[in-house]
Amino acid sequence: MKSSGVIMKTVQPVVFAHEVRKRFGENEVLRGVNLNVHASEVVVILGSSGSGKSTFLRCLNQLEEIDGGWIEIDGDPAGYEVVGGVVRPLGDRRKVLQRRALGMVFQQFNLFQHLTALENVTEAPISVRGTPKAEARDKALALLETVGLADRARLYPYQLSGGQQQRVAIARALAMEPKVMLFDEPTSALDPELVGEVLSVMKTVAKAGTTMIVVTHEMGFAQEVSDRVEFMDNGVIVQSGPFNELVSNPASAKVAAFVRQAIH
Amino acid sequence: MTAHIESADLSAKHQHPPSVAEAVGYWRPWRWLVSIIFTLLVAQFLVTLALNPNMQWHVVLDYMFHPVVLRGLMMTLLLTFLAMLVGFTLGTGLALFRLSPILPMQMFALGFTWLFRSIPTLVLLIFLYNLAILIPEVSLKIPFGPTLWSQDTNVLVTPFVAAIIGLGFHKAAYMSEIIRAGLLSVDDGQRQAATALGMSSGTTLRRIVLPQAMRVIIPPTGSEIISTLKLTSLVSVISMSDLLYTIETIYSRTFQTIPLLLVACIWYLVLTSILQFAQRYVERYFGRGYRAPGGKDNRAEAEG
Ligand SMILES: Nc1ncnc2c1ncn2[C@@H]1O[C@H](COP(=O)(O)OP(=O)(O)O)[C@@H](O)[C@H]1O
Ligand SMILES: [Mg+2]
Repeated sequence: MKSSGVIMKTVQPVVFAHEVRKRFGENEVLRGVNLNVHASEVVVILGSSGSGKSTFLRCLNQLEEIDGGWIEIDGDPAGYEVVGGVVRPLGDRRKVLQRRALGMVFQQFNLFQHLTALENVTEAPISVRGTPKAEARDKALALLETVGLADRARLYPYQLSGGQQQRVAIARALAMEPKVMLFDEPTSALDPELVGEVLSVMKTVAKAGTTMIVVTHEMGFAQEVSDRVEFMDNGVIVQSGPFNELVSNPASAKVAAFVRQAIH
Repeated sequence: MTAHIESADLSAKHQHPPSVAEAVGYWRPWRWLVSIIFTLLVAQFLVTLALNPNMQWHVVLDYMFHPVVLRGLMMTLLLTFLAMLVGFTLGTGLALFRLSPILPMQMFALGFTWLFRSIPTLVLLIFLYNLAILIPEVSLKIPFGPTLWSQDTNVLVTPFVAAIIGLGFHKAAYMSEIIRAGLLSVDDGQRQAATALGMSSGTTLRRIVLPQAMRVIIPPTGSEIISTLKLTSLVSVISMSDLLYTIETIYSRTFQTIPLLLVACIWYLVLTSILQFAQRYVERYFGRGYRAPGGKDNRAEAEG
């Protein structure tokens, strides 16, 4: 274990985010976000649209560069290193390697359009990790089986329903065996009747002990599956704790209003 | 609640209505007339042309598969292939330069495209052919530093090399715009998903972006290949023995100008037709994963 000097806990969090700041021009979107996630924890991030949830997830896997604060994934500082007390940015090559520790599921699925469901899942293991084709294929088929799509392996994304596409996207991210899975509103683009199948796959993934950070508006999922809920408002986390506590004892009128509306 | 209507309530003529399936065809006399007139005109034109004794079809037939002509044909094909290869490779590079965040690279690509789209290809070819007058020696050196290697321009830039560079650079300028449009047509979510999976920018480009961009790149590239095929006929000015130059050499000797030009035309027609046919298959290959226009699947096997 690397001693970064920043944390001195006995158990090192898998995700350590400290005072993370992000600006788009004049617009300060993240204003000091703190979040620790330990192995096998499932954390749900709630918050109204535009509060910075997606931006935060994108900062975690370095799709965006942060302007301040510190992020470590499994003890490995993201995008930077400290050499002799000096904080230096890493080269692109190192960043690419670091991203493999995180799997990401997008709201719009973003399946590779020119590849079949199976090829979507095998692509990164083969081209990134150099896994032998036969091995990648067997593993991908097993993953598709897990998400209930073994019989759809040869279909292209456009031939799948939204729910099926999102399940393939989950299998695709899992195929890289990430340390953490990030979900950015995975069911928001789905027809209501397709939401359940995706949530149930996510539950299976959570039960298998996967560390997960999930941005969602699905309160049922938050209540049933999450260990902890984080409420983000205007670029900061304003409340953190078990779901039921958030409901029974909201930290602010805004949290209360959000919860009331989301639960109906 | 809508009232339930029993069939007994309907009047007699609604008990057994006719069906449009039994309708007779609609009579369109003008369409028929126009079709007949057109067919006759075209037929007459073709027959007159074919029967014109000045066509000298026997001469056409004699030279169609003449070894010298075939050799010219091979040269035309080789030039087309190499010019397109240079054009596509260099064009991809230029397109990437244009999309790069590094300003001097953008400017270089912009300047290259501007220059080689502006100069007429014929002028460019003659210019390259006479390059030795301008630059007697080509050398490889570190900018403002020592020379590593040098060579006499006339040895290096043979007419063949001049032709490849001339045609290739010209094509690269056009291809870079086509490829750039293709790269831009790929949804940014595809790049993000690839990046999030830990793919490097090179792998993302090669495995995810380019294959999808191809769908947009192929159709205009097909036209570019066909235009290159015909453009190669320009190299006759720098005495390269392509199809047209070979034909010219023969008819300047035999004075059978028309039939020999017909030989060239027929060959160009044949090659163009083959290319158009091949394009359909390439388009279908890169169109996989996309609903064909009209909603039909591109691959039958995909229905499952
Ligand atoms: N690439 C970007 N450029 C400029 N502004 C952005 C960009 N991405 C997000 N934003 C802004 O950041 C804010 C937070 O966005 P986002 O993280 O998507 O919120 P959420 O996911 O909570 O709805 C919004 O005001 C949005 O307009
Ligand atoms: Mg969002």
